[in-house]
Amino acid sequence: MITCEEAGKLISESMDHTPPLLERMNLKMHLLMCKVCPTYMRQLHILRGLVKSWATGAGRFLADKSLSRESKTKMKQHLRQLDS
Amino acid sequence: MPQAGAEEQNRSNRGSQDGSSRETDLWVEQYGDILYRFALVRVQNHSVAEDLVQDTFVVALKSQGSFRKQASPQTWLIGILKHKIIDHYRSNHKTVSIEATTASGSGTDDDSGNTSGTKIPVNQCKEWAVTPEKIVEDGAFRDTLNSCLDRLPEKSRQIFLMREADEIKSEEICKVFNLTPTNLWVTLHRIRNQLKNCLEKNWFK
Repeated sequence: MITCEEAGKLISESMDHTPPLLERMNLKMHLLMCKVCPTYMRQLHILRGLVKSWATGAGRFLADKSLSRESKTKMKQHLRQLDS
Repeated sequence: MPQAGAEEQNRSNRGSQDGSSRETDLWVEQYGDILYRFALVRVQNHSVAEDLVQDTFVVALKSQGSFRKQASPQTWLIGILKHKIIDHYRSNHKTVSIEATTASGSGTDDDSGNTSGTKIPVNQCKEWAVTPEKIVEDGAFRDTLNSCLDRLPEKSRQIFLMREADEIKSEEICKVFNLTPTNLWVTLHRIRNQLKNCLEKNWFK
């Protein structure tokens, strides 16, 4: 059976690509036997969800950060020039 | 906040000299701040974020035909901005040494697949009983997550956000940062462990 260290590496890698069949089977077996790694796997998926929610919510969470009036005016002028 | 947006729009309309706002003016008013915040989270630099927003509008202008066809202009603009951000990383990467990516407090810096920094102590594996979409509404949690992300080397932070937040494929990230797939997977694993440990120390105690 693979070690927790190897399983941890595979758990993370599985989030970025599909490992070869043998490695996937080894991981599956390990997850059935191990008490720690399934939790670790759930944590990494929650972490992904957290970062995703945080980054997509930035528009609301950073409501105090805006383009200055001046920047907006400059941008509009720039676009008008290109548009004419 | 639709109210604040409408207020801002009124102000700008009053401000324009000929009274008739052009379509591009409306883009800036309607989507400028949303795009700016999206960029700011990812590039962490006010003026770079501004430039990226402007570049996004320029691309949008050049393909106005497609703008009108968009069911959701915001999604479309964010799509353009994502590519602009990647271009920015790419050009930035040429001036930053590779050490910046792999330098991390824990683990080794080689790319041989050595994962000595990735041991999982049993006592650090408590269940996180949270719903991501709910907990990010908590400002205190966001501060914690923010400071954990800020502890990452700049390039690690960029790679991680590309992969986890923006769902950019591994192959594309490898191209941007000139990494082998193995190198990327090891890097991502290390970053995930670093963040997990940081959140465990500061939030999931």
